[in-house]
Amino acid sequence: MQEKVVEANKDKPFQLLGLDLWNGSTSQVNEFSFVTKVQFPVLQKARNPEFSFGLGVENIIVVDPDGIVRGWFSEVETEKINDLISLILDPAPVSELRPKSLYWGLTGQVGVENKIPIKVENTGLEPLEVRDIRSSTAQVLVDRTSFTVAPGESETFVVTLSPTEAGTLTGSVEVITNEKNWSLPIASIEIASPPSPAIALPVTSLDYGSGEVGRPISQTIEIRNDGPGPLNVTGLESDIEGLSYSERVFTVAAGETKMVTISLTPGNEGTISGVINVLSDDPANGNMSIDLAGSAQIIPADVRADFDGSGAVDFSDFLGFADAFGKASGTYDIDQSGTVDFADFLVFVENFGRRAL
Amino acid sequence: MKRMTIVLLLVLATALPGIGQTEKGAPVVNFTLQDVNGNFHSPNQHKGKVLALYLLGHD
Repeated sequence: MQEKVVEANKDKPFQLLGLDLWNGSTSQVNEFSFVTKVQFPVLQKARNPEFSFGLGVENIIVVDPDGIVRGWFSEVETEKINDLISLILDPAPVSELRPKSLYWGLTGQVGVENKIPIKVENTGLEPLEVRDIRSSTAQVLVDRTSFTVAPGESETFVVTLSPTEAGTLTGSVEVITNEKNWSLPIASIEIASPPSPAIALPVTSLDYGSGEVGRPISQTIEIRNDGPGPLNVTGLESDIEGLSYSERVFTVAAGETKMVTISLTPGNEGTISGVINVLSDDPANGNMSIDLAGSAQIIPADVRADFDGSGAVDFSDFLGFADAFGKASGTYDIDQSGTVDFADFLVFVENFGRRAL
Repeated sequence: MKRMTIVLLLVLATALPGIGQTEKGAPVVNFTLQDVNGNFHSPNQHKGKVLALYLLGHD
């Protein structure tokens, strides 16, 4: 060891000192020096109660010209020792990146992100400036593009695989620093398309039959996803007025079914027909339609339930009815049973909202 | 048993790296020791140079 270190640094401001931790006698140290051919002073009685190096024998402590410890090594690590001596005499940043390549496995999937943190370490003695970090592909992103790493410190940036299209993905991430430039190769990865949904509508027509103007009628439809990927229903739309839906935007997991209740409240008398469009991200059937048919008529109110004679069975009639409930009242006793009771209430409810023609 | 404990402590004190008074970024342990020719050496004496301290042991 000694020859390699002494020889490599003979023309530099450098001094090697041996310290005898075994506290041998002068003759023992002389014999040791002769046998091992040491070319540097060997200091005696280095195992001393007044100080401790905290290190065992065969270690070498490297101290800078200001007396600051910059590192220690096993005696066999001559290359590292010489590198550190050179670095101390000519201070510079020294970058180290881990990992040195980007491996996300052999396969990936469009839309599925994966991250790898990269540790940037500065083992040098001057600040390391990371000036740019750039990816060769838009499907691999970095969260930072510049920063400074102090000597002896480290920083981390994150590389994210964010596939947007199927195919083979390769490339690299380049890290530009004031010391050296690094190229982190992207291990080839096969990106697959995401599993597709497949919408299925068991019922493609809805018959609401004959309804009454102003009164809602409900039907339930089934939306099934027969595909291996999630189905995103993005909307239920129709040009028919008076429709409302229990849900219009939702996701149906692979193999699952969603029931949606569609209520129709006719606004006018006559025939009703049209379609309901089911919009989704099914790549094959993004817009499916359900035929809707029905009719509506106006049913006049039973004038007996229009207690106040306003022309409509409404809330003011209800207030009077509630007040008379359980009593004998000719006006509110619709069936003339002698008492305003539940049977009268049923008739009132049946007519509530209707107009007395 | 007592002797064994002392031996183990001595081994630990000299064999474990990173403990004691040697710390990266900190001043080196100060000492003044003689070489076999009777010359005194201390780290301060070598300030301005890179100093390597080779911890030696022999039989």
